[in-house]
Amino acid sequence: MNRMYAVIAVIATSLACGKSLAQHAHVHGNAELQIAVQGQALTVQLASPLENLIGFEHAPRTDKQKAAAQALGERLARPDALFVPSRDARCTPHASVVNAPVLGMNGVIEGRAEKQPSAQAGKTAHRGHSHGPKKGELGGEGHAELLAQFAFKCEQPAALKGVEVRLFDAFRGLRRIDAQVAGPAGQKAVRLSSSQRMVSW
Amino acid sequence: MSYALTLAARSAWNRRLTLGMTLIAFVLSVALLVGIERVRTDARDTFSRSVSGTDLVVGARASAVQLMLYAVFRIGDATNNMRWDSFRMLENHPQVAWAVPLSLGDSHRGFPVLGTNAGYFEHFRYGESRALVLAAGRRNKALFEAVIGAEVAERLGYGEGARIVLNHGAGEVSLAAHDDKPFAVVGILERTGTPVDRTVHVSLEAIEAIHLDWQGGARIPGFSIPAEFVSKFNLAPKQVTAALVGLKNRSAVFAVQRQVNGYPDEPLLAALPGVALDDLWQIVGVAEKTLLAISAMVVAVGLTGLVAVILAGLGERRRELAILRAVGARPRDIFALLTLEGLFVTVLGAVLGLLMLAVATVALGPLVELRYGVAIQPRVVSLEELQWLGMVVGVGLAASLVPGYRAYRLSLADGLMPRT
Repeated sequence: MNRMYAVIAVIATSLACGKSLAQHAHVHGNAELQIAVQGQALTVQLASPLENLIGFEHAPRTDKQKAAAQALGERLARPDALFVPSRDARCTPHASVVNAPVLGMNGVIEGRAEKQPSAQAGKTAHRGHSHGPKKGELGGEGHAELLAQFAFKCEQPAALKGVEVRLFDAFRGLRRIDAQVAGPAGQKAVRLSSSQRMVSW
Repeated sequence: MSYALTLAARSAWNRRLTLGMTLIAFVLSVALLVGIERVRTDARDTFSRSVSGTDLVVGARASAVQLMLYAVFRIGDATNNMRWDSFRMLENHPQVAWAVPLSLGDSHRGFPVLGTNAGYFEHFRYGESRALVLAAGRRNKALFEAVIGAEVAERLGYGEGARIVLNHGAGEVSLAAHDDKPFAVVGILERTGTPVDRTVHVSLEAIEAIHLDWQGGARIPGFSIPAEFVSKFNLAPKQVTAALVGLKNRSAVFAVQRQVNGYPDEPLLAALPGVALDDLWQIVGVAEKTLLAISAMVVAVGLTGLVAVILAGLGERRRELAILRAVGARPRDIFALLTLEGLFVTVLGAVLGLLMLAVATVALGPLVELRYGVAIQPRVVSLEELQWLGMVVGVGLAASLVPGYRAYRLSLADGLMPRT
């Protein structure tokens, strides 16, 4: 349990750094993935322009847009369907944070988070925190990003050799993902596309 | 069959001059192909084994690749330094287990001088998490003491107790020497096969001390502080070039990276060394592929020349082949004879190419390592290279079928008196 709190603490500090969203280029079609492995903890962080995920970058107005935002929240609530770690490592998702202020997603989802749409997750610890709705908008040109972090716990970390990224099936707007890995075998960078979905180390 | 081989060999020997020339061209092309492949893999090995166990490299804001190149590989220069308080902030960050300062910019006879502290010898790792080990002597304790890398010691013939003078700036020859404050070599590190071998290590305070009476890259005229008095000055470093950082928990690496990159007091860059290297390979990869493609073309040119020479020789050898037919050689023997000749030259070329490369590696390897920091390992042949050579010999065999088939056709059509 201690480890779990440590992971949540790491997630919280990383998102508390307000500038974190604005540190990379906002390029439609591209997203960034950061994967860290330490002991039993596997942490996956995704940063993507909202356009890639739902096709627009503002608060949902029409019913269609609201449905898209809702669907996104439901997808993100099931990280094990988006990221598939080596099967033998027996990893299970146990905490996530989704931060997309223009969609009103702003908070920590604790526990297994099986069915809870993250759009409603704002009620937990981070509501009222200094993240205003402007934080996700970049440069005032109406761009907005999603930043999400998923923590997995792996029972057999020695068997954890990679993660299959299934984001390309879920989000048609994604063309390329630049993935960075910091793991027991060192660090590496991998460029993912719909034909290259495996990050292994 | 063995008779056919002898015949082929003797016939080839009879035409040794023309065949020899094409062989040389082919040997050179094989050596080029394998050589480029070898430099490529060895450069990657050298780079990736140069830093291990370091979670982040931090320096002034530039590109991550540039930061890695100057901080770890001593290639190129820093655009800017980072302030000492920024380094202290890093060192005291709750997630940081250790931080090692690096201060670069001076040199000794072309070898870079690195100002650092005792943490460097404790925390720096290379290869598979190997620590630095002293081959002789001890670590530097007093102000004007230096620990040198294996390559520095070997090239310049330094042992313990040698006196060395540091130069201001990089480069083999420099007029701006810190000759009033010489250093004593107190330790020599074991060979690592990394840039550490080419580095002179001194303390951060020593770097401050030798620059006390300097301003704007030159000594202040008419003003000098003798070595024995420098300890009376405040030698606390004011800035460093970069820092190596190890974290308590690897999971925090991206979070710490973001925090450093967003540090409000100074524009800093934190790079993950492994990620920066992969970025570098992505850039270099295009050039590498171009080089490989060019060398493959050169091999193709060599092979074409070989086939052309054998084909041209056929005209002169029609009588020879006719006689062979007359004494009982079947058309397919003629076919085998010519094909074998081409194959033999190809295989011989591949073997000689490797041999030539081995000689070149032994002869030029040290120079390449000194100039470019890439250690080219002498070796017989790697699996990947064997694949390349297999491909070359395969293509060579296919190309040799052409003169074989031509001779086969001719030997069927020609009588003893070919119309030439």
